[in-house]
Amino acid sequence: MRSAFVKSSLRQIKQTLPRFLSILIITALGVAFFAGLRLTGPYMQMAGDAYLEQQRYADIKLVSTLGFDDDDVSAIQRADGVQELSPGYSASVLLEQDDTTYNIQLLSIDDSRDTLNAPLILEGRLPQASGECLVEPNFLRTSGLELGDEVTFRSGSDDDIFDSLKAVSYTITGTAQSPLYVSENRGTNDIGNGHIDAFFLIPTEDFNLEVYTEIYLVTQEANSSFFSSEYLAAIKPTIDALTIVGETRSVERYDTLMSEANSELDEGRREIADGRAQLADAEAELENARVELDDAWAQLDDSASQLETGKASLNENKSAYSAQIASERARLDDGYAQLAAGRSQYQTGLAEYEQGEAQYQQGLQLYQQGEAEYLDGYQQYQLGVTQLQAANDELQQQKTLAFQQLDSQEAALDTDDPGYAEALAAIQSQREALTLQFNLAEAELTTQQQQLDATGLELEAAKAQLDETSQQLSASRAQLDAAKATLDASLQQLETSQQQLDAGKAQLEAGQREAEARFASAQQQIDDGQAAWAAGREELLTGEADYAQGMKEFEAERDEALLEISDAEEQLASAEEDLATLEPPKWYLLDLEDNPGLYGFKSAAEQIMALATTIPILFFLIAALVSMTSMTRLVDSDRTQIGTYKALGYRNGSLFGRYLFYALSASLIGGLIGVVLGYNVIPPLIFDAYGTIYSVPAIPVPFDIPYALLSIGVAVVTATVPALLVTRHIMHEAPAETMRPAAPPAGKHSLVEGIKPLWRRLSFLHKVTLRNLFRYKKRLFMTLIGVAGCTALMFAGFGLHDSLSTVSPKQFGQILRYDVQLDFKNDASDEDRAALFSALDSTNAADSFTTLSQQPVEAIADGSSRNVFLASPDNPADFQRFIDFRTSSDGSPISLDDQGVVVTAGLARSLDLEPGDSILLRDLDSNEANFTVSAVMENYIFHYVYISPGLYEQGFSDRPESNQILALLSEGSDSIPDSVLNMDTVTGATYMEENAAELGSMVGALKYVVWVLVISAAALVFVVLFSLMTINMEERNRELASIKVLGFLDRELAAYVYREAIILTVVGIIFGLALGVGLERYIIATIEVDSFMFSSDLLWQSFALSAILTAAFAAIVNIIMYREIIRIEMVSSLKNVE
Amino acid sequence: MSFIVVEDLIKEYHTGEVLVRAADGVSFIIEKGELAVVVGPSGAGKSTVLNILGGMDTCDSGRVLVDGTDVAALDQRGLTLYRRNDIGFVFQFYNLIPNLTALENVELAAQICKAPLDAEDVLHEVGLGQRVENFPAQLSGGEQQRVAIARALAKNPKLLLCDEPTGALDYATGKVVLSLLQDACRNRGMTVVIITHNLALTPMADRVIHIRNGKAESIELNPNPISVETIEW
Repeated sequence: MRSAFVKSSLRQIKQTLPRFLSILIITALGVAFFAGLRLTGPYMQMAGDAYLEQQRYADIKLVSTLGFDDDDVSAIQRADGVQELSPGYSASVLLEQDDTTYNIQLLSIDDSRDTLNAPLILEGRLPQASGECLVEPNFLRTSGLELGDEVTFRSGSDDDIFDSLKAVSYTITGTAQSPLYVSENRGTNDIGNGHIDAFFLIPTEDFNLEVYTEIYLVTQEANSSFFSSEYLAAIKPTIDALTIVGETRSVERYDTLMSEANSELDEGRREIADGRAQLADAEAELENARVELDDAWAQLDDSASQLETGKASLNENKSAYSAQIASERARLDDGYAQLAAGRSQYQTGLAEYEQGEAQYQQGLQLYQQGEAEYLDGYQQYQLGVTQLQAANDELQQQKTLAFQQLDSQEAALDTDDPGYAEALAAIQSQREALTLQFNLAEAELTTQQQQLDATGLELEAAKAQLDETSQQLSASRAQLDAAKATLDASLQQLETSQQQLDAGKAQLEAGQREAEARFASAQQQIDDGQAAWAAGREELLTGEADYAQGMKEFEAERDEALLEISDAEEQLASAEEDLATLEPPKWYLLDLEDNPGLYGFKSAAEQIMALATTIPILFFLIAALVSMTSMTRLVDSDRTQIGTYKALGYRNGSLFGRYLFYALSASLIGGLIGVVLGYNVIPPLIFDAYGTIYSVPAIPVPFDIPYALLSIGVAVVTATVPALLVTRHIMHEAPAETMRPAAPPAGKHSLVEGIKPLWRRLSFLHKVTLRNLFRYKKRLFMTLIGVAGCTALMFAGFGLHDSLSTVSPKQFGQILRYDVQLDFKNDASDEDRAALFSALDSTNAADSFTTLSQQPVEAIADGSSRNVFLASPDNPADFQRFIDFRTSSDGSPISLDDQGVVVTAGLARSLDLEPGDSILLRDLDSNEANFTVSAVMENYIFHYVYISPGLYEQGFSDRPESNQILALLSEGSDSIPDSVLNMDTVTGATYMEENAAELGSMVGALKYVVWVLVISAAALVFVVLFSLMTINMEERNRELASIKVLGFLDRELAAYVYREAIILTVVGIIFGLALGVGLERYIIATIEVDSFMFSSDLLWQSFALSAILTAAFAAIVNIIMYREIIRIEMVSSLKNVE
Repeated sequence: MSFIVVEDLIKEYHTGEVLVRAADGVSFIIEKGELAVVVGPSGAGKSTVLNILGGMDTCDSGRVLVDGTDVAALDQRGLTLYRRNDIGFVFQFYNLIPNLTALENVELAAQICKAPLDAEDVLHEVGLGQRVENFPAQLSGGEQQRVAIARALAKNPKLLLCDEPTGALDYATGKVVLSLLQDACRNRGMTVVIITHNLALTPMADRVIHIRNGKAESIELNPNPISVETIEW
């Protein structure tokens, strides 16, 4: 009996093989999809775990606003939960290669084997010496460099690159991937265009930094999967502990820094003060020199005028003196002339006198002759002697007097007088003349004596005469003597006047000499003064030149010094400001979720898991419904048999067992096939797809028992429980009743008939169709659910595809209309900018271009923050040509004005922003400003906040510095020429075409998921429709046979069946599309990431395609069923008892 | 030539290893306008013959001429058109479309044939003028069978084939049904073939064909058929 039962069961399977297979296949599909998709997320996590484990991924990364010093490191080392730490360095640099500027993030790498975050070497080897580096393979691909090539970095900021590095040239020794960078996203920094292009690993020793920039550490507790919440919970205590350490250290470090900085500032201040003092000294010196010079000039001018005055007065004096001298001389000459006249008068007087004398003498002689002649006898001797004696005496007396006179004259002579010698000589000659005279006179006297003696006798006679004569003589004598006295007096007078004149002359001459000497000396003095003035002037001019030179030097040096000082002051001020704003260092504790790549990977895994919770359930639900329906139908169609078995006395258990066996075998086999298929196809497929984005090595797919058991279990339950329920239901009926087929549902007026006008218009067969539809409600709903579900799944797949693939054309075609973006230094000078713009103008490569400022900022609203780009176009009015500002809701144009900022849709969604809301923007320098959101614009990739320059200035009190050019390429040109790109000002160029391609590859990954979905849904819809159709056919066999008997042609019969099927399919598709839109939205909401928004666009093609595919599957099923329809056995179908 | 000529009709059924010859050289004729009753024990092959005659089944050999057409030679489509235009069927279990009202069931048949009768008129004729809007489930067995007859009649067929039309009905109801069939024959001149295992019905027939073991054992002509109402069984 047992074997008969098994035989009967197997026979039943054989007889109903299509149904068995349909249950099996649908179970397999459901399970494959469910288990496969379910495992994908965990599989990704396992692969991620394996990778991170192997590379010793650090649980926590610490960064600080001020880096870490050794005290920090040891404090962290002591913190609870810290097992191992590795301090490291990083730096952002630029690298030029083939006219492209790459923004490179340098990371330090220890050469020790068990280093944390070990790179996974793909090619080559680790750097072993200074000057060697490890790069990522993508960099080699894009740059065209190869292993062994050398690269040279340059600073991306004003800071010297040697501030951070010891060497700037590195040889590439290998390629590697890093667990820190599993995605394409390399993060951002503050140099170049802010997008890191690649990371380089260089030896720690090549860094030249005072403090560590980051610390990686492994915690003690983290043992669970990196992607689990347990993991985050496990590292939480360590993070908390480190947070406290950070707070403590922050204060300590702040104090240290403050005091250091303050002393440095003091030093700086002192230096500046010194510099200023020196400058002031120099200036004062120069000023003194100026004053001195001016004084000297004044003196010089003074002396010049004095000289002039001196010269004038000298000349005046000279001429006055000359006049005086001339008059003096004239007077002297006059005196001399008078003297000469006096002398000649004197001479005349003398001559007269001498004539008188002579006359007298003659008279006397005559007298004496007469006397002598008189005394000649008498007194010849006596008288003669006495007379002679007397004469002699007198002469002697005269002689003495004369000589005395001369002597006195001589004595009166001034030996100094230049006329002295002359005078002396004159006196001498006079003396000689006198001596001669006297000698003559004495000789005469002697003669006279003799004469007198002779004549005395005669004179005696003639004594009376003689006496008379003597009297006459005496009178004449007296006369003569008087004359003589007068003469002598006049002579004396003459001599005196001579003397006076001579003295005057001498005096004059002496005075003249003296005056001349004085004039000469005055002239000398003037000449000297002149020379001195000239010399002084010369000197002054030299001094002036020196001064000018000094001044020039001073000015030059002063400018320089002032510049230096102002620089120093500026630095000091900024240092002071810095110090004033110096906040205590803030530690940032970054865990896995802060790593964009790993977070992305985690999110991807979670997305897949989210997908795996919703879609397969829907999938499973449909599958379960179908297998449930199939089983129900199976049991139902067997009701007479059950009744018979029961009537025969079979126990309920064995009857249960029969259907249990059927359901179990179908669902178990299907489930096992499904699990094996699902595990081996779906996770690797999706993982490979994500492999294009996330560089995480694959691992063998594990056979996950729980998911297998769960999915097979659910499949088995959904297949068996309905079977058992139906069986039980049948068993509860009386055997007699059971042995009759279940009464088909009674015919009823359908709801549609209530709408009389409509109903009347319908053709008869359509009425029949409608009534049939509503008659078999279960089938109606099953079919609707099946078709709608599958359509929805398929549509969700296509819709996802749309949402993904339309992002690129919309983002890079419609919204970002420009073709190329040029980044240039935002500190470029106006000339450099002008040069760049004109170079761009002249190339003809670009039709037109515009400039804007773009910088990374933090956008904060309601306490949550996002990293966004703040973009401010220089010319908002013209900007629409480059970026289309349109609302994300209805595409209406947005104007960028001073009313508020325009935020992108992703940001609006992320921060829950609406027009009118307020948003806080904080730039890299921690400047903050609040803005009102004026509009939300359509945008899919990254978050942007667009701001007008005016509003920017209002907010940040600073004009935005443009650093980007957006250009539209002209017809026929596909790039910006190197002549522009090579300009120093230009730091990089990004072509939208490339971005679109990059995005395309990212989107490509998710497309695999989409195709898995579509294909699975397609398979599902096929099986579902087939099953339902089969059931439909079976249930309505008698009805169809009846109709066939009535003479319905095959096509009419088929149409009779198909009409219902088509209506159900069409309605199912419509419901399915509606459901699909919702499902797609739900899936997108589940899997969307922050910085990438999916397009909400659904292409009509997707609607059409999913509808057509579903319809096509329905058609295929119907075509297959056509054979069944026309092969309906009328005789056997109608023979059965009713 | 007779309206219906069945010659050496052979029909075999293969069920697994077992071969059953349901019709083993059946031959008979029926004239136009006759009411023929085919009688025989269960499994004698009555239904097989009727099914083949009605174009619901094919024979393995033999000829089945109906109004000059060899039904046995028709292909599926020919058979379908034959059923559609020339045949009206009445089954033991009515085989009404449960989802259609009485009228609609009649209309369903009338729809597809060339010269249908008015469905409502026919229903009035069979005495269901008041039940036209009722669904089969709302009708009694006799009423359902009357609808079935109306459905067959509305097609205005050449030949009305009835397979145990009273088999599921009580005596009185059966009589009503049979009299309807008789009336159809008498009033419309329709050729009617009724299968029954009830020999008591033979007096109402113009022609009685006895089938046994797959053969037409005997054919009797009844020159004076009596009205159904007068038959007792």
